[in-house]
Amino acid sequence: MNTLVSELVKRKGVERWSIAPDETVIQALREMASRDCGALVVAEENDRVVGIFSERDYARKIVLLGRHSDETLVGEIMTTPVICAEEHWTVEESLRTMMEHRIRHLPVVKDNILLGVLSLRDVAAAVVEPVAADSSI
Amino acid sequence: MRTVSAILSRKGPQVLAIGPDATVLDAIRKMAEYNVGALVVTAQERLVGIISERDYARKVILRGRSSAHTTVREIMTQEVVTAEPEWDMKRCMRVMTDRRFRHLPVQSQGRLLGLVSMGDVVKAIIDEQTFIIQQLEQYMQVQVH
Repeated sequence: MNTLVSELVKRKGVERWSIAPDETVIQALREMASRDCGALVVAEENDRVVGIFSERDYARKIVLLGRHSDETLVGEIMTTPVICAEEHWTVEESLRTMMEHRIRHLPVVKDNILLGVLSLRDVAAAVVEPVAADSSI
Repeated sequence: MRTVSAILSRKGPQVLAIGPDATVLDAIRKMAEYNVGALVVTAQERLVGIISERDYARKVILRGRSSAHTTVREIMTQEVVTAEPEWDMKRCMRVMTDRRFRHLPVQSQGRLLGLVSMGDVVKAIIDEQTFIIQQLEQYMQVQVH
């Protein structure tokens, strides 16, 4: 419960899946498919986080709003501002934040520079597993 | 520990479903309308699959299809893992994390009862933990004073 998100990010590896805001949406979809993930952090060249682009953004803001994925830029439909965790947050704090805002991906930042991205699955597994194990005793 | 049927009763009896012959565009519209990330696919009230934002993001434009001319059947996930109403949250969580699903349809004796999401499961677990902690705190206060 008191694990820090910075530890989870380390455990998950140092992958910092991000995309630039001026890439096209179709390029983002290709990257998500090749990395088998549901969201990419949108970051500028210096790793400064400016938003997040998820399957949810794609499902809601392209075809339903008459846009095309090869003509629309990630920066046009990304979710911004994005809710981030600071590296010193605990896993529990992060999970509560995700539930409160109904989000499935949480970038971890230090001074708004991207350190990594946690999914609801990563965070929930870290919080739930130890407790679930206790309750089965 | 809380069970799947407790979650379903809190969510209400409505099951968000779509037919396999509907277009993907119809499915995306329905997901937006109800603000959900997946729909169960039913034919004659039987579960035949599940369609999610993931299926849409991976199997339409990237495979040269269009959402208006593709049916739900063509991109839905057919091999659906289902939960039973008496499953506890730990079991749901384990299945979802191991199999990498965010949604579990719930069935009992072949009848579709609803759909639980990872968010539903996590929320139920957190609520229960909060309740246990409050109980413990009250207990501690009683003991101290």
